Amino acid sequence: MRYVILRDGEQVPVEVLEREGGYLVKLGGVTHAVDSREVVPGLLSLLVNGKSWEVTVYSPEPHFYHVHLWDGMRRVELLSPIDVVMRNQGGTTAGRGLHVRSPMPGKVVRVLVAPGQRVSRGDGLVVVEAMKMQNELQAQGDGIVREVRAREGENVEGGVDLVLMDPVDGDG
Amino acid sequence: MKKVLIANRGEIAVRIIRALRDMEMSAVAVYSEADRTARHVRLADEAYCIGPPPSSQSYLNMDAILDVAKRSGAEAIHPGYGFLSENAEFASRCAEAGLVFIGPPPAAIRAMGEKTQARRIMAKAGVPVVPGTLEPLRDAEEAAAEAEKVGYPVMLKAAAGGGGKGMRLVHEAKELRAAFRDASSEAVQSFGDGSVYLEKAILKPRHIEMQILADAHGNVIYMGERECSIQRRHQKIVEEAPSPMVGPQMRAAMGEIAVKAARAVGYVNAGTIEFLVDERSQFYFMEMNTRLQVEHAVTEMVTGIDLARAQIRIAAGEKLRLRQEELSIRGSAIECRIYAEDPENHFLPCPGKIEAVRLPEGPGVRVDSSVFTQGEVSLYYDPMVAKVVTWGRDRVMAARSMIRALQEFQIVGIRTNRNFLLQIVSHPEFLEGHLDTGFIPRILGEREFRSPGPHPVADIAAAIFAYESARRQQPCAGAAATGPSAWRRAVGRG
Repeated sequence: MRYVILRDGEQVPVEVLEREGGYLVKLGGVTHAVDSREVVPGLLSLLVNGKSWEVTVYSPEPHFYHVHLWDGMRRVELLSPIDVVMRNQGGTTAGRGLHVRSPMPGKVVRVLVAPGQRVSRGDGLVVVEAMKMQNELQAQGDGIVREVRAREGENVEGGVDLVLMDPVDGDG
Repeated sequence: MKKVLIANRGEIAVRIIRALRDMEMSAVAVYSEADRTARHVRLADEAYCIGPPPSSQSYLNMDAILDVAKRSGAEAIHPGYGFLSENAEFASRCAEAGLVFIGPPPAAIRAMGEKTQARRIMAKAGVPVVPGTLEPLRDAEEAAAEAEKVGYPVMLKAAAGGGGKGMRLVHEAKELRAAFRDASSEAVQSFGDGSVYLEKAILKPRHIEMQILADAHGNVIYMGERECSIQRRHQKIVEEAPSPMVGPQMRAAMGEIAVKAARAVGYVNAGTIEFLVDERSQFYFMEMNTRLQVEHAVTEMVTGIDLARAQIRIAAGEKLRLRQEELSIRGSAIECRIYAEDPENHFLPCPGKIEAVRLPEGPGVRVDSSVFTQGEVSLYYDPMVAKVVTWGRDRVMAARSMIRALQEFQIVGIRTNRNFLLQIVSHPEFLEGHLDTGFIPRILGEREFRSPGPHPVADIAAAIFAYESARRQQPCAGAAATGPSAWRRAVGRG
């Protein structure tokens, strides 16, 4: 099965072949013999050319994988070739823009922006209090605030859009 | 004393139950509706529900807790840390109900609870305090005047509480007014009291605290210090004992001051005096914590004394068994606090279900935790997952074991700060013992804390995960004759 990894604007081909109870994985011109066992869902034990790797993999949304090796987490964007074509035709990601949603139930403590305001990546938009800590939700890219749905003092559910933003300069 | 109620939850409730078990005493647990299957409930001898999930309706619900004590016939209450542990009113109500509160007298809690009063008492007792005000500030004008007196930079702090809330570091006069306003409003939000006081800000301070034990017969001893300078936003995340910068003489000097401080408020039971130490090794009283602390385990590892058991014995009226001259500090212990939070996303808490967890074990490793497979890290309480503590013959050995233990730690289903902790304890500055409270901001700044670069194994893992996920979703096409069969899907404890 052929895949493509999208990284830094480049396409890296990956191929997974089943072979003799394991896999051959072709990546970057190298073929790796891999024995893979899923110990518990999301936890893989990989033997790659004899080296032992414990990896947890989580897919928060299609084509995105959060891969934890012992030294940290890496985000891998991996698609099948058909998905790549569809994306290039503007099919898949229906622009959510840069909307900021509350990650969990909490209370809005402070609203830092107003509609029409221009913000940059990293700017604070809303402060939400949850689990006894105050968390500042930040813009994930440059944009303009379209609508502010958070109200100071209000309790919010998890997964609710708090600030709607539109990207500028084709970003997002 | 035969039966003790633990007015707490999570890892500290488990810790106290273990101490009670060691002493062949009976443990009564209380739980909120969110904690019905929690480990402390299952390990206790008796367990009673005290209310819905929110703390204010359960673990802070004094009426409910005292009622359970009565119904169960508990003779004493151990408050743990947080929740009601430093609530003088609760300590009083226990006494009124004929229950032993395993902690200090209400008067001592009250005396140390208001920070400016604590400073006044200490100054009067001859304990060195950080230069600054001994009363809350009336307003920003007074703050400005006092700041001129002690000299910038200054630290504005909430009088009614700690933990970094209501604190502002002010470098120049022109920042003071806004900082005063912010500190005060944050203090109101966190403690219901906007009073703020002022201290001279010590640059590159170390945060070193001294453990003390006091019995009800007038004996007070110090148990050695803990180094707690590794903090993020004033929350401790890595602690150790002994402190790499404290030698026997400084320990004795700080210890004697700590004992003096405890006597000044008629302290009984376990307590901790927090000091700020400047670059010249001058130490100043910062505050006193009138409870058992999260990081007590490192002191236990280097002294061989079980502090939770000592607390229970003291509360039962026993005299301290250890004499000061018998105290010996052996080896080095380090603690890392694993929290369910995402350092890659501004340390946002990550509550959720733990699909699988592997806690480290082996020589020199101790883990205090209450998590379990299929358990929840609740959004109602603090996101502590586990305290991993290692002991070594010296600090280097303790650090190596900590690196090994953190690498062994494995969790599926929630994010934790494990990798961040690994970066801390592997950092050359940490290994050399160059610690001060600026450590975390420095390494976060210098290393551009981000995901590491690409790794072929990460790509391989993603590809295989995608491949196997897709195959699982195709009921017929997936069972290819040449492919791995379902037999190979080994599910184990990991």
